[in-house]
Amino acid sequence: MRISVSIPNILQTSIGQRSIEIEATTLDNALSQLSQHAKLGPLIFDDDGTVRKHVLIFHNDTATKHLASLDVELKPGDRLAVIQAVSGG
Amino acid sequence: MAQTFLAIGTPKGLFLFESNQHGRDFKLKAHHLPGWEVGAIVMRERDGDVETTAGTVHYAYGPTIRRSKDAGANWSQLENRPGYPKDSAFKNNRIWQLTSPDPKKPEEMWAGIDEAGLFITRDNCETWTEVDSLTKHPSRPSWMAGGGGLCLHTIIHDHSNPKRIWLGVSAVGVFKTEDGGATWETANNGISSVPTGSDDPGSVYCIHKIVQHPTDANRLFMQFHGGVYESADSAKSWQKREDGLTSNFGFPMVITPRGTQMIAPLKSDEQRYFDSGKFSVMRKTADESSWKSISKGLPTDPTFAGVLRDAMCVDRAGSAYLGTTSGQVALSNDDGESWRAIGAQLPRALCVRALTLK
Repeated sequence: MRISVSIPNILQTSIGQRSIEIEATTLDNALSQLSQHAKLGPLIFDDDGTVRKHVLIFHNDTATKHLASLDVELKPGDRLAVIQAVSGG
Repeated sequence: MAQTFLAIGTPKGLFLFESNQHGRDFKLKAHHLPGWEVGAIVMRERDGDVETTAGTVHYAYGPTIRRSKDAGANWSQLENRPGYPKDSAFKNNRIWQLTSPDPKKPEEMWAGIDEAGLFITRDNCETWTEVDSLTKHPSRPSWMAGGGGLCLHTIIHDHSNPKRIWLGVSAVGVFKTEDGGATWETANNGISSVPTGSDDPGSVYCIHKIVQHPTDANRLFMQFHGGVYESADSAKSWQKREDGLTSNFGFPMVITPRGTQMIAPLKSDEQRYFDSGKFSVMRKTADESSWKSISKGLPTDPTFAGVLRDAMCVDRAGSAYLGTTSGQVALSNDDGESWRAIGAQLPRALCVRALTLK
């Protein structure tokens, strides 16, 4: 299933576009593919494969860090969004 | 008239100034990479244009390498950056330094990063290789970070011998190779140690900046964390050279093609700003034995700021440039005798680089 991943403005200069398309059936698989994106992967994921501390990934309206499991089947119309977590100071 | 580009790396991006009159008329040409901290810059002439390579970092997204091939008009993020592999015990926090040592080998660049490590590319940043002979130095387990991190901030390529390189690592010390990086030795003899928390007496030196004499390859100069030094024997030993200094604490050091050294001392380690708010540079020409304060042309309003270690540079023609932690930029076209402020209030200057086109 093709799913769109929107990215923050500041990362759009890295790839020249506002979103990317990923082919995946589960959320886990989608995140795995995102982590392997040549330019976006290192910006969103840390070297140990975890999502960077100040980055949130939303599956529809839910932050993936709050999910008990990433083994979630994707449905038509699902969307992913990479958001820079609000970090004051 | 010679065209000069002046790049100021800041926490809010890279500010590019341009002059067509030997630096007499610098104007802000553009603000690039907004939102990204730019701590390392290499500008050079390439393929008839200006190629700029920038080491950037973002608190959320980590470090990247950015490249412009047309004097900043367009930028791209390169796919690879200098950094440890994913299974390394060391983190890739920030790119501290980028160098391009040999105009005849433009594909070769070197990078120093935090956590302190050295990397080399031989394909103009397409790929990077860790110089793991340094990472595997026997002293590595004892390296401790300074206030700015555990950073490999200075890479000096011997202009007379491409196999000889000196490194400055905070807060660890000086490293030297005579075989192009295959092996490294420490080179801190004569430098006063500082309490870094390390229990290794060979790794307790907080180097701030090192420069090499423009013609005498064995002479090096250092701004240390509380000390200004000189070596006459390629860093085998160091001696203090502080006559005339009211403070020996500071970060940057530059040397002009005429052998004039310039530093920007701060009041003290505990109070890191110009003493009494007086913006000045200390200078020692090649035929002087003591330092003199130069403030002619620098802003006279109280300036409780400082200059960071890479926020001062000298270009091919010998003009000197500096940027302060409060975003003021100034330059000297007369070997530091007088300065001229560039009209702009930028963010904190992290890295200053200038290029005058041939």
